[in-house]
Amino acid sequence: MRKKRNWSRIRFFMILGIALFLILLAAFSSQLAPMDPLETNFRESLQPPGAGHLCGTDKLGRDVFSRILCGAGNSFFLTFFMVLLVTVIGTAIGLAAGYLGRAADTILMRLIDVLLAFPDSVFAIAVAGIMGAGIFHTVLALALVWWTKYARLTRSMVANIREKEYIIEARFGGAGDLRILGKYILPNILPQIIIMSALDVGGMMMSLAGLSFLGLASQPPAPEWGSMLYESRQYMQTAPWMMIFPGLAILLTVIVFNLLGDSVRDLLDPKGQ
Amino acid sequence: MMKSENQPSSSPLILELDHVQKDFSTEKKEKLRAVYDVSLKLYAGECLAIVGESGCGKTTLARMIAGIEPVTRGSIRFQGKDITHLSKQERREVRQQMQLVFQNPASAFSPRMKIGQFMKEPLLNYHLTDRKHAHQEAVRLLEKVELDGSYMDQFPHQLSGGQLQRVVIARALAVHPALLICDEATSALDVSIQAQILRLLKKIQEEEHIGILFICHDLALVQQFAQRMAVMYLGSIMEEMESRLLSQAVHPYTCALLHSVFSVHGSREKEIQVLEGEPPSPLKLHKGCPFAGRCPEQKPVCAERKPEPVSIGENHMVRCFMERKTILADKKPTALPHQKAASCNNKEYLPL
Repeated sequence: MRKKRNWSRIRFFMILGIALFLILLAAFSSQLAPMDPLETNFRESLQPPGAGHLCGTDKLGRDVFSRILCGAGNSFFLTFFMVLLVTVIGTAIGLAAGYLGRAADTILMRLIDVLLAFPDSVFAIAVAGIMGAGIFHTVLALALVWWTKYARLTRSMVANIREKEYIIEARFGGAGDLRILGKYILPNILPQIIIMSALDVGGMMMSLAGLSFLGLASQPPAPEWGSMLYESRQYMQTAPWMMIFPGLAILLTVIVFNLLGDSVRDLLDPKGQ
Repeated sequence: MMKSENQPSSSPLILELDHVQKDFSTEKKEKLRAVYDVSLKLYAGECLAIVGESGCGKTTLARMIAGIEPVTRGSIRFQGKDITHLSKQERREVRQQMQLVFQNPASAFSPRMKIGQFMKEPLLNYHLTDRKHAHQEAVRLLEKVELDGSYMDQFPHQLSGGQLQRVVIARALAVHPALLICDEATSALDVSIQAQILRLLKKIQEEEHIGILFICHDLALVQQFAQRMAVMYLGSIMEEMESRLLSQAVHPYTCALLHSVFSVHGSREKEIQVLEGEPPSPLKLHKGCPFAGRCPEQKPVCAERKPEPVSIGENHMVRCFMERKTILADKKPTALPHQKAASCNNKEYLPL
């Protein structure tokens, strides 16, 4: 028991270390990048990976490695911001729906059903079509769809916990509604929410990359992983490195955050102690 | 046993149920009558047990008293105050005087809350102590239930069922309640742990002069522990009496229950008497006595209307059509099996 706990702790810190390393790379990308990610050099366009360019160059002769590093900043911070936003909004609404029950619950859940009818990318395209392409509109469109997932999860967990005997005991212990929500319900659902958020970092990154790929999120020439993939697809056969390295960057990040989510779950389980 | 046993009326009345009724409506809009015409009194420092088979409405009754379920008809008075319908704030004030102990101690704890925090909750919420002294007070309460302070930093899953139940009791005591409702509080525990919990309850009942409403399905246990008992069948109280006079029970249902009690001193050859049939569904109650279909002494009148409660002695009420003089004449002792065994005394059977 003890040993297992220590191992899950070690694993958590290892993965957290890798994740922090990635975040630091993204934060200091402009200092770390060997070249200017926006500088074009047609004499060196479509160079394969080698000594001069670690990951080769794209059709405009820009250094792919530098672009990936600098793109990390855009991808990461937008992703984290989005995940945090939808987690907070979704959890708050889910708590309200699950705890209040009755009319509030019915109204919120039907609203969610309506929103869930749209796949997020389609919804984002529709929003972009109506309001014009742009990062703010994309964020809005994604947030509108993604919070529902958290609200549903939270609501079902709250509705389940609300009927438990320890909530009745809590009332007899003099706890009011806010205290019950904060001290009894939230600690019991938070681990699942955190795990879902950590797992969603990967999904959100993919979603944003997909929208960038469609030209709906970041605009050229700003470096962003999704849009880099988009630009590379014509050169898939002649210059595959343009696609492989941004793709690997997305893969690595998604894996690291998925693992982080898993190890957080192991760590937060009190039965593991 | 307590002094108040023979004269419960000398202590103040803390809980009074007056013709309490509870109907649930099912999804098909059928009416389910869970509790029917229950009138009970509970005095300070006394233990009243409600006995009956599962599904007879014991727990619903407890939940109504605790204010978890609304009452359909009738009224509940607690410490002289009508608590049948209360606002949220009033209910909160009543809860401080009334504490609950559930059947399964494991589900009474939030899995992520340490014992210490669980214990401090009522102390802080009801402003009984300040933050500085809460820890000290919580440890003192734990010691009262024979647990030491080292449990304060543990999570509920690290404790055994008996220990958890003692923590629940300790927390209930923190607010100095007038009434403790124990809903099958010992049923989920091992027999040896049961005795421990009962001994503890008995001790605190005597020390703190708390009234205990003890809901249970174990007749033998109730007879040892409670001063008075009410036998419930299909939502109605069939017989209410002092538990030391259990052997003089007259209601056919009580007698049937007595015959079905097992004992370590029972003989293998003795035939196990089983009550024929199943209790009828509370959805389709007929107009007669609820026990009529299974009663060995059924009369035509039993199927016609419901019997009213009849007093047949001091603190002895029975809800049956048997004529009073037949009841008194027939009062042949119906003892629990273990009482028949000469070598057995109560202490051996259940060390309280």
